Amino acid sequence: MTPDEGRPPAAGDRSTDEPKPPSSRPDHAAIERLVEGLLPALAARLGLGDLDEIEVREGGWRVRLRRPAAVAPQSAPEPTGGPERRGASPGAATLGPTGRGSATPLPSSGRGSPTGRGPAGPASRSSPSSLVGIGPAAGSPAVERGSPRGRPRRPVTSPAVGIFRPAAGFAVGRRIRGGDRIGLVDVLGVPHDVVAPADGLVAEVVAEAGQPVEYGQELGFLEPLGPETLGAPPSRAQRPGDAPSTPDTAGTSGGS
Amino acid sequence: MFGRILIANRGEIALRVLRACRTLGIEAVIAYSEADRDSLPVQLADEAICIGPADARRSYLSAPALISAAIITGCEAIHPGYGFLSEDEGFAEAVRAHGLTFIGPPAEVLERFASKEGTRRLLAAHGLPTIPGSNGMLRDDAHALEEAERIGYPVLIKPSAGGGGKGMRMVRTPRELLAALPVCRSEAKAAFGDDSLYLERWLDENRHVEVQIAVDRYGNGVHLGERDCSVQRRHQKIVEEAPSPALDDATRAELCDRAIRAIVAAGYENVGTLEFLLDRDGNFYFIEINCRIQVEHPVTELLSGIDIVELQLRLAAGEPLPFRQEDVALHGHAIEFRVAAEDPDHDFRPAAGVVEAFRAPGGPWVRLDSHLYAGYEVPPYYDSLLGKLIVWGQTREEAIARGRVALDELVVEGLPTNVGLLRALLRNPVFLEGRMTTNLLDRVGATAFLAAAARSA
Repeated sequence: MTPDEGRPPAAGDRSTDEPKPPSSRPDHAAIERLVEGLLPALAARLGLGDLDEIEVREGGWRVRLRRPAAVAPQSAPEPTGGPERRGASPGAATLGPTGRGSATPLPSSGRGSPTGRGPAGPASRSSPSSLVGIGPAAGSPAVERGSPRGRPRRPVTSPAVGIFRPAAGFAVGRRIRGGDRIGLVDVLGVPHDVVAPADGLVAEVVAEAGQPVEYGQELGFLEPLGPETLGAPPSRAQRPGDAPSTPDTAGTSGGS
Repeated sequence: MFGRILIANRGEIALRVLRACRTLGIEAVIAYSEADRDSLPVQLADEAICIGPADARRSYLSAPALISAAIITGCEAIHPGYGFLSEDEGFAEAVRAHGLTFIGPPAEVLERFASKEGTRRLLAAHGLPTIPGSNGMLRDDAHALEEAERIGYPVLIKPSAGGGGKGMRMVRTPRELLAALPVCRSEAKAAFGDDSLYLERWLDENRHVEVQIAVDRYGNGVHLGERDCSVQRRHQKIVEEAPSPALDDATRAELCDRAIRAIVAAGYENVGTLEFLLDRDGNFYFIEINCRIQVEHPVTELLSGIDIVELQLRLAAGEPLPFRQEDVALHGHAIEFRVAAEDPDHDFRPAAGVVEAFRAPGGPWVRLDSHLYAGYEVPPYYDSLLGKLIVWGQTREEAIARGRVALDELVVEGLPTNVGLLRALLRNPVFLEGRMTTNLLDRVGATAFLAAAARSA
């Protein structure tokens, strides 16, 4: 999306409560600093092999580098960070600004690609890691997180193209069950439920409230729970989407 | 002019609209289904947004998904391409209601021309000759028999809600009519959700000639000449050309002039095509209108030097027609060959698969509108059109010669195609002499036609 400045309003302007394109321009100097300084260091760190994913926040920017999962679920959709942005040079990451709660989708490179005989495109196909979800975050000190190797995470994907509205229970660390409604995607005012694909802990929330998302877009990730850690299901009053709850203790009857 | 448009279609037409947008400096967002993630228009677009799964009902036919995608990517307008929702007045109205511009006729115009039978009556009232046909929809079998008797056999049963051959049958006797009616109804219901039928007199040995028109918001209209689309297989066009070898200059002028007058008087807007049948005596009869960009529009573009997709965009943006009728100059001869993924060994049924080898022809006045590339996986969910090869020459003979060379250069391997049939057409004396009628292939069947051509090659 391009900045809105300078363009006269189109005939039939949309109502003010619909999401608008961002007003910020991409900061090209900051992007260059990130690309040349930070990314090689992150890639090298990822290459040490003990982490699947690294996220770094610097100033108004957030950078996440993820190694593709070793075992991908059969039916998982291709990872996307949002509507694709063209124009990046081959082999480079795609960068762009996101404002909190703004209408800018998170760009990404790395996508299912045709065979090597396909036409050259901007997305790099031979890089070992894919760059996902870069953009400015609320100002915060640099934070580094990783997830231990060997636990393939399940993505929670969008069932429709529209505006994402997470439920209260869709937060990192929360335990959810397969089939739980963890939010909705608003398509022209019609809600489409986002449903957890499996039991697990919310390992990461990728999409923000009010963010435009496309069909199949990753909204977050679940850390599937093994049988020994599942414990009792949350009580009815503690299901995601309801009032925040205190954690269960093992063996407590869920009640109903 | 729009700054950003959503292209709500796929394949070669999405690529065509994308190219028009980029030429004009308009940003284009492609809405795509999961099955088209690796398609060429998605790769080339400024931005691409996945709107749903492969099933067209949940993607390319989903008005909410398309409009939602347009809004969240900041688009001002939606280009619907052809097929899908391109002539759906409900979609056009919903687009408008959400503050976006629909690139095509406005909803009320689409509604006016929605019924083929109603359109026939409307344009007859504005002076176009129409094929004798039933008055209104067929109420029941008794009404059908009555109308067929009045019109005169043979008659063609046609669905009011759609085209492409579904729900159409030609019958020569009352018994055949009664047997065909339930079949046509159920085919039409399945294809268009509407089983309304009407009858037209069937013209043996007819030719299909259509007129390209464009009308702005201010009542100015032009025609861009005619196209001959007589080479068909089961009512689906395979080869189109302009000018029509069947028309002399006087008939051509009268046909095009009457078409544009009638369609302007009937209140049309944007780009469209009026289809006619020509009988063996040279009389023309209006049959239907297509209120959208047409697959074979490149034929007219090569003759006129006018970018018809650009014209659509300008008219939708409220601009007046940038030229008058006297400014339209049509030169030379153009022929389009539709390259389709169809299996000649199995009655030309649609095929899918990975394109293992692909070579595009080139050279002077050779144009290929196609989304193919080596390694592309043709999905099984949509129509079988792989692309269009269009050639131009100073004369019809020159265009044919160029077409022959281009079809020889064209390579599409990995899945069956109709290229053999196209090459066979260029060896057929009836086609070479420009005498083809709409039953050229169906008279013997395309498979037999292909075999006969192979024997005589």
